[in-house]
Parts: sequence; structure tokens; C-alpha cells
Amino acid sequence: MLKDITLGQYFPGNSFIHRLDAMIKLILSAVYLVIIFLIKNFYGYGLLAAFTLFTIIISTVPLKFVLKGIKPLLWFIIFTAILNLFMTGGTVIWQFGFLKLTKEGISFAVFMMLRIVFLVLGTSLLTYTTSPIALTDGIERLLTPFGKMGLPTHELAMMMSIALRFIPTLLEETDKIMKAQMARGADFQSGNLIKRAKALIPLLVPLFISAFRRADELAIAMECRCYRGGKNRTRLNESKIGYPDIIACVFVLLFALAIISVNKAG
Amino acid sequence: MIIKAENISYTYSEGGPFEKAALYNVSLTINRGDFVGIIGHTGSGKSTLVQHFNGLLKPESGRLTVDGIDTSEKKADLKKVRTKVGLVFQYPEHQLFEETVRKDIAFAPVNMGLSPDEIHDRVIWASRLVGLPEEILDKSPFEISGGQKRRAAIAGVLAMKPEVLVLDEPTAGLDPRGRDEILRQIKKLHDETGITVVLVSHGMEDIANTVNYLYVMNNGRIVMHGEPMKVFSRYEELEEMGLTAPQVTKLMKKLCGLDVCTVHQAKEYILGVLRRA
Ligand SMILES: Nc1ncnc2c1ncn2[C@@H]1O[C@H](COP(=O)(O)OP(=O)(O)O)[C@@H](O)[C@H]1O
Ligand SMILES: [Mg+2]
Repeated sequence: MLKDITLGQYFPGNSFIHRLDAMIKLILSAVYLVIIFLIKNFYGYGLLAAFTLFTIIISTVPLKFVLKGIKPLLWFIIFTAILNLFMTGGTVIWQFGFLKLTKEGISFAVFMMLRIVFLVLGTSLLTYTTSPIALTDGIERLLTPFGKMGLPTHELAMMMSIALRFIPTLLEETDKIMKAQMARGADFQSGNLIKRAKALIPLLVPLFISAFRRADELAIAMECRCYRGGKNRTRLNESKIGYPDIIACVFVLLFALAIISVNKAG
Repeated sequence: MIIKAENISYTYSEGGPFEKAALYNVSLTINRGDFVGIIGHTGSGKSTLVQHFNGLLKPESGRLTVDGIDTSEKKADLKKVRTKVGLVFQYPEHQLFEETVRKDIAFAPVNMGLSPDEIHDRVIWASRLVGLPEEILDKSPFEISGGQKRRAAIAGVLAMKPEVLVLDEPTAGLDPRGRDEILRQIKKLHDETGITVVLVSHGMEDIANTVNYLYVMNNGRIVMHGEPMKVFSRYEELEEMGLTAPQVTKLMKKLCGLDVCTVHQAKEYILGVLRRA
């Protein structure tokens, strides 16, 4: 169950995609997300699928692993599709009571499903190929202009990297406490909703206590090493934008242009 | 025999990027009334192995039976297995959650659906066995000392009245006095109730005085087993695996080539020699 959560997981590697600059990757992912919503017809989605598949292949992350990211969202996707299926007005092709199935509804539902799937694939590819440290570094650099306006960018980035860093630790801890309580006969899987919510108390109390303890220890450890926020802090690894980044930008730009022209054609 | 493992293997996050084989073809048997030790350095697979004993993990290949119940079987009654084999995790005090120590110890008996009277008796019984004074029972588990927390957590497992008590590094992080007290109490528990005990440890001194059979793990395999004395006599091999035999074993081997694993035995022997001289 916990194994299904792939969000924020990093798949170490040394592919072209892994080596791209994190800030560029963030911008390109944002462009990718915008493109998903620009697409108007199935040719566009064909192109999108080809592009996504191509990036996944050169990233060397196994396709099976990328697809696993969709699993926890399966019910959400199905629910959205069904809602769109029956809530869209247009030419009615089948009716049962108040349920109306329309031609527009079908194509809209399919569009919606495809959009969510590609949204998840694109964003999970970003986190699979970018280490949490690089990712927050990229975010910090992206936010620099707002820093001049008084936004505490460094602190935000630091908070984010700490949060990302602790996701696996907390999952591990959850797994351990769950097992320890199961060894004492706790049952997390059966019973009605209220019973199940109650069964979570033996899990959540120790989990919160350990999270607070960890936060406390981390704060002290950071202070001991003279951490005092963003001002005048230098970097260990200065990142530089190189040819691969430019190639990637050009490639995505071409893809965007292709989508726009296909949109006109359809 | 109560626990029998036949060629069990286990891999964590199989197929993922962080796949990690933790057990390879492990076989062992634990008989009723035994006091078994499992030693090995950190990461050798001890915790993974003992989590198979109560069905929390299921072997990928091979078979594990608890009192004749195969834990891999679909219709295996795992709740029953978990009350038969009480497993105390490493740092068990991290699992405490109730408002009072009493309620926390009662968690398992409540889950077993026992009557209030029976639950009360078991809480008193278990806390006495681990040496928790009664006035502590109504305190919050978060305001008592580290050693007391550990005892409360062990009592929480004992309250199930398991047939086998498995303790995963019960002395980790305790001071020498706390360590000796816990070990003494476990030994006493074994002697008085005849319960089967499996003690996991990476320190030799913990185990030498107490267990009557010893398994040594290294890199997910059982590499040696036998009576403690026999195992410790091969201390050169143990040292190659990053483990050490008790100091007194090494000393006695150097002094007179004798296999000894407790200070007490060494004392008897030396006194004997002195008297004869
Ligand atoms: N939940 C887990 N996920 C992935 N790997 C794990 C997990 N738990 C343990 N391991 C790995 O399995 C191996 C054996 O670990 P463990 O059984 O905890 O050893 P020990 O208790 O002897 O220190 C180690 O290499 C450890 O990193
Ligand atoms: Mg361990």
C-alpha cells in the first residue's frame, strides 16, 4: 500500500534528462503542462504521447515505474471521467432518467482522462530525474526575482527540501510503527469507516511524536553548524546552463509549435 | 518445535530502483522452551528474519511454519500467529501512544477481545514480570524514564501471553545498568514461565550468559549455529564478519586454549587451577 506512493521519489541515473539543469527542467515541465491544456484534438494527444514516451525512454527510468505513479490516482481519474461523461451538455445519444450521455461528454471525458494521465506522467518524470536537492535549488533560482520583492525564497526552498527529504523517512517510520502495532493485534484493514479512523490513533500519535522530535533535533543540528538563512550563503555546486539545456529548450519549443499547428489542422 | 523456517528468502521493494535482497535461503528451527540467540552486525538481516516469525513479512520463497501454521497460506490465521509469537521491535518505546501506561499495556489484550477482568489481570501480571512498579501504571508513557518506557513496551507484548517472545535488540541504547536489568528479567521470565525466547543482538556479551542455542547471521545468511560455547570458539571467523566474541573467551583461549563464554565459567576454572597449585 505504502509502496504505491511514488511522489517525490528520485530514480538515480545519469541520462540526458538527469543532467539537465533543474531550473530549466522546471520551466520546461511548466511549458509541458500548459501544452497539455492547449491540445484540442486527438492528433495533438497522439503527438503528446509520442513526445512523452520519447522523453521517458531517454530518461532511462523504466516505463513500468513511471506508470506506477498513476495507480494511486486511478479512482480519482475514473471519478472525474464519469462526472464529465454525464455532466456535459450537447447532442444526446443515450438517456436513462436524468442521466444523459452526450457526444461532447464522451470526448470531453476522454480528454480529461488523458490530461490527468499526462499531467501525472510529466510531473513524476520531473521528480524521478531530479534529486530533491537539485529540485529545490532550481525552485529557489526560479523565485529569485520575487526575492527582491521581499519573498523569503531561500527559507521556502529550504523548507521544501527538508519536507522532500523526510518523505521516505516518514514512510519508513509509518511502516515500522504499523508493523509494531500489528504485532500487538491492531487491525488497520477491516471494519467500518469509524472503526478504521479509530484504528489510526495508535499509528498517528507515535508518528507525530517522532516527527516533532526529528524536527527539533534537525533544528538544533542546523544551528550547531551556524545555519542562519539565505543572506550571503554561497553554494557548494554552482549550476551552469549548457548546450544540453539549450537543445532541450529548442526541442520543447518545436514540440509546442507542432501542437499549435496540429490544433489548427484538426 | 514451534517455529520452523525452511529455505526462506526475502527481497525488499522487489522490482524497484532500491531493490534489496535481505535474506537468502535461511533455515532454522526453534523448539518449545528454547532460549535462542540471533547475532549479526547491523544490516545482516536479523530484523527481517524475526518479522517472518509472526507473519508480518511473508517469505518470497521457502516456507515458514508457526506451530504448524504456514504463514504464507491464504487462509492462515495471522492474528492467531501474532498472539502465539509476541514480537518486540527494536526501540519498542516508539510505539507507545496511550494516555496511561496501563492503557498502553492493555492495547493488545483489548484487541484480542478479552474481558475487562482478564485484561486487568494481564496488565498487572505483565508489568510485574518486567519489573514496572504499580504506581507507574497510571502515568503517561511519555513522562517516565527511558528504561521504564522500554519495559512498558515489552509488557505490552507480554500481555498477549505469547508462547514465543521475540525481542529485537532489547538493550539497544540503554545504559549498562538498564541493559543488565532487562536481560536479567528476560532470563528470569524464561526460567519461571518456560516461555520460548528469541533474543536478537549484535553484542556478544548480552547473549553469552543467557542463550542455549545461537544463530549467527551475515549478509542475509545463517553462517554458523550451535551452542554458544562452540560458536564463540570460532572467534577468528566471527571477527572477520565484524563481530567479536566475549573478551573472556579470547582471554581463556590465549591463557589455556579453553572454550569458555562467561566470566563465571572462567572464574570457576581459574579458581580450580589456583587451588590445585
Ligand atoms: N523497509 C525496508 N526497505 C528496504 N530495505 C530494507 C528495509 N528494512 C531493511 N532493509 C535492508 O535489508 C537489510 C537487512 O536489514 P535488517 O533486517 O534490518 O538488518 P539488521 O536487523 O540485522 O540490522 C539491510 O541491508 C537493510 O538496509
Ligand atoms: Mg535490526
